Amino acid sequence: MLASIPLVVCVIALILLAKARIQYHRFARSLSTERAWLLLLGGVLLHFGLVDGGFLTKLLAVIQSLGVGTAIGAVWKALEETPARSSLAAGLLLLGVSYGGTWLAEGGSSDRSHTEGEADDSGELSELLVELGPDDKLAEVAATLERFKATSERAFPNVDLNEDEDLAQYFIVRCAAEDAEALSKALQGDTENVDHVEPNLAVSIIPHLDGQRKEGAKAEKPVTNDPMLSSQWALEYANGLEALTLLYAASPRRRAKVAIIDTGVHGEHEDLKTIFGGDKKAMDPHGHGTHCAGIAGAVANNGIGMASFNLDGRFVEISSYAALGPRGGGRREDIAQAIVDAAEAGADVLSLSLGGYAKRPPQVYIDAVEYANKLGAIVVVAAGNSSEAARNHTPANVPGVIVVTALDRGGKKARFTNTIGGLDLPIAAPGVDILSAKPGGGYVNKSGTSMATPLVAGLIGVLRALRPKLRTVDVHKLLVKTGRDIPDKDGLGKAIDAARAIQAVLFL
Amino acid sequence: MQVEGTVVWLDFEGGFWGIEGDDERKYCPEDLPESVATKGKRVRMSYERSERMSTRMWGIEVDITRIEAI
Repeated sequence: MLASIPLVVCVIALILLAKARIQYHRFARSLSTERAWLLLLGGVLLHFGLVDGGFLTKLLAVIQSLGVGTAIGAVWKALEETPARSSLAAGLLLLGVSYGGTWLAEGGSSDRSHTEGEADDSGELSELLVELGPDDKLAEVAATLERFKATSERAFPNVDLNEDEDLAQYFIVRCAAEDAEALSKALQGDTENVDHVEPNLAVSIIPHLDGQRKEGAKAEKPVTNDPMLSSQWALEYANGLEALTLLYAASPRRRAKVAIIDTGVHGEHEDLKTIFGGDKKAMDPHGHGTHCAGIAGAVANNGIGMASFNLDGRFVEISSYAALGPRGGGRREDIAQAIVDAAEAGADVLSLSLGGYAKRPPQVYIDAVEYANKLGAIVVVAAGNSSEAARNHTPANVPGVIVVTALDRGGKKARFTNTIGGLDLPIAAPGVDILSAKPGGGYVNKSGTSMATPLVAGLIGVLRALRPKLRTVDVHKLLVKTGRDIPDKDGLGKAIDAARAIQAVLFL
Repeated sequence: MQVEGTVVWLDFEGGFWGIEGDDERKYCPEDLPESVATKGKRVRMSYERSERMSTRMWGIEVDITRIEAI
């Protein structure tokens, strides 16, 4: 309807000009003539404001309107028994240019007719994934969809609002490929009704994501341009190379904040500085925190050093809470305070590669973790390195934390790792000879459940960047469901499979 | 408190010294004096338990009050 207004205005203007020509035998200067010209100018400009599509589409619409108006003006003149052949010829010529230009722009395809409400099926179609708010209805965006002649259907028809208010509100929207960008912007601008819009990208099945990992399988060419990627066995073991491949086409809703609660982080490290959310002058006199930070979020594919799951730095931002001193030790109160501070600062994930022997978890930890969980933070902690039951170590024995045990290069229990008996949320990850950043620049290998923990924390950060509403239990369930069975599963938990976890979040 | 045990070098978490007690417990001092910092050295250690948290996560954190080779 709105798109018709410029045409009507131009037609009226051209009829008025035709009348003026009839009256004065030329476009003599008169008030009515000037008004008609102004009206025509307004009609032309309205095309650029109300007609959808690119510049060429709008220009062709202007020519079409001028053609229609000129032709109708010619008819008017003919009815007034004044010469109209040249006007008619001009009108027909303009119409010919308009339709011919439209035909060429659309690739020469015939049969552009389509009924209202149906997407054009003769040209290329694009799909968008649109998430409405939990209380919103498709009817509230129907006008926008109609404007672009887009169709829609529920993305997950078997999921209702009671089961999952996010998935139930996903719709696949199809439109002509040339309209996808404009439609996406229009929907994104409707912040009252639309939570999220993204292209429904096509992906192909990646071999050996069915759990049958090919022995010795390696990427034919590097997945990223990080020079030390080939030295990071842990990433490959955790299906990280396939995960990074998936992430190239993924659009995070935002960057997730991963807080490293440790000895500090060297904010200026070459592989961290672009994603470090704290004071760049921050230092780490011990080195442990910087190493953990690199594992969790070092920028992948920046041509520098190592990689993490943080492809192009788009998914994770690292912050640092120095609760441990230069000799690697710290007080419980300082650690609890760091948990609270990080959660209040909006951290999505807290990574704690620290602990100590305690048969019962300290109340201050219980309270701090409960508070962090309430604020939406997911707390990930190391199981510990005594080769004992982690339930006698804290904060591993605090309710509500995801506990990470360590695997060696063979996917077996690292000789030092604690085990998980009696804990609710265990998971395993590589923790031996793990390459990561060191203060002052450069990289070093370290081992420990400390190294396994930020690998999981970084992965959870990526998952949260893709789906910010994921909570601790959801994430753990997902990691277990997509994780790999290992020989010591009962003592360590399942091992993370980053590609399956990310795939599950992207394509539920 | 006092215990006798053997000094060990743990090569994870960046590397650190520990004492495996004859009582089959693991003791983790924040600092081990250089005089006894040798793998396999037999020591007698007087200590206080610490509630310290650390990056080491091995055994019981202790503060040494006295240590001597035996």
